[in-house]
Amino acid sequence: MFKNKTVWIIIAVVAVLFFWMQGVYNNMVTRGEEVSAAWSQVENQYQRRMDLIPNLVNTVKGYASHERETLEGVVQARAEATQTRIDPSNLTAESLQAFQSAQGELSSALSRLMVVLERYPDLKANQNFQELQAQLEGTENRIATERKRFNEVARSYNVYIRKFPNNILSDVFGFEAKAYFAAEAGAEKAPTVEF
Amino acid sequence: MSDTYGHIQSRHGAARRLVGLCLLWLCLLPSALAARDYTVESVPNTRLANRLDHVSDPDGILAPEAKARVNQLLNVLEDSLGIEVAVVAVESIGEADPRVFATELFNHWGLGQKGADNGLLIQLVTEPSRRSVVFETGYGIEGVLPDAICYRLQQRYMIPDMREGDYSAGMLKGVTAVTRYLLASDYERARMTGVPGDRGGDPSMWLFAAFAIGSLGLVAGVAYLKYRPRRCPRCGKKTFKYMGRSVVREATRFSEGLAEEVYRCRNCGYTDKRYHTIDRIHPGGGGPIIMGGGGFGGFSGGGGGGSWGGGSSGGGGSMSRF
Repeated sequence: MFKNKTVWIIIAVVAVLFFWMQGVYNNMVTRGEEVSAAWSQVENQYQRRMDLIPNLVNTVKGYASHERETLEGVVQARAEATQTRIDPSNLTAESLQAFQSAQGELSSALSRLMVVLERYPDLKANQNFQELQAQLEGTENRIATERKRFNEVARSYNVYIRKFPNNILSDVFGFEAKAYFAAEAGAEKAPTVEF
Repeated sequence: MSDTYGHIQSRHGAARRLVGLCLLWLCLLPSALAARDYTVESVPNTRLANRLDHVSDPDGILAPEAKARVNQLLNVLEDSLGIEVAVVAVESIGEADPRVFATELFNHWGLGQKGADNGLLIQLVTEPSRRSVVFETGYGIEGVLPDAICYRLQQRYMIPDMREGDYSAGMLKGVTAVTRYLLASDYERARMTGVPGDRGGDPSMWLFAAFAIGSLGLVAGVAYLKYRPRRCPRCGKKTFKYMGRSVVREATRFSEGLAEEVYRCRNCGYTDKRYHTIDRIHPGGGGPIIMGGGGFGGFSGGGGGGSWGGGSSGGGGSMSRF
């Protein structure tokens, strides 16, 4: 049986195919994990922002009790944002859209609050508030950085799985393209909150 | 007549040329004096030419003495904790946001050791619409130098002088404060015990520690065996001790030497001497072995080029406008 030439050729072709598939498949898995890691960094930074909010609200309450509505807006937006989470294996355009809009709500509620607080010089002079402010700014910058990094990693993953002939394998094994963060107004820049 | 005329003519031409040159110079002067708008790529990385130079000040904002002192402080910090700090002072960064600029510059240069990400960028921009001080912390520094602390140090030590226009004093005070804060913090301990901020310990350090402890134990054991009280052959009490060693006859290249070790009993005064021969001196091999040459490898020349370690920042730190 092994004397037949065609059998040898078939075996060789199968072996080459096998090793190629193994390489590509493993690469896809590795890159997919990198995207998940980048995503968890993004989520961490958003979480950091949400963790700062109770502290901020408590500090502000003492000085600006008249701004109940604005404060409640922030608290509510935070509560909604807390519930919107994404499983990194399910990074589709829709789920990312939902996540981004929930966090966007929180961002705008926060900036509304900051504008209102312009009217409270005592609060602005409070050291505790100033430092919270610095932390919040730092967190916004972290979010922007991690989002950018996530987009880069996701882009390289998407390019890899869509390239020919890798796209055949990604179709067969069900590797799906990951969604990117869309640039929303002011998302690329860390929001500057000035006093 | 024609001669004088020509003379006047030529003088006139020379004067005109001089005026022209002056005008040209006056035209060029503002553009030469006006600061460039630096981009992340165009800020000179002074470290590449001299690894002990942490300060990039292309527009000459800081005084040379202040820069020298800052470098001194930052080199001490780098030697003791491994934290790589860069100071950048520029007039203008164009339309860029100082905070975003700092994050990008940090990652472009790769401040901090790779893996440890223990870098810090201190950035000063003086152009009025962007006038600010930014601290940008690497992932590994965030834990010991949180944003609120960065902000507090900026407000307390840098902004008062900088608001007055004394950038050198503000920068020097700020760097001093940061250095002292980091040296007083438990950065090293945090790294060793794997508190958040630590990303993968250093296994070679543990190996080294184990080796150091082992060799210390060996030395202690040998010393104990030598100096431990033995049983006195005369009175039988455990007070018979090693007193020391003296050379009776020096060894030479041609003959062996002789040393005596003295043991004495504290109780009854019984003394015993044991003699040992000392090996002949072997030419070339007998001198004391000096471990040298490698100790100052990191400093060699004092001015060699180097680079930053390749660390990265996730955008932590704080900015103070003034």
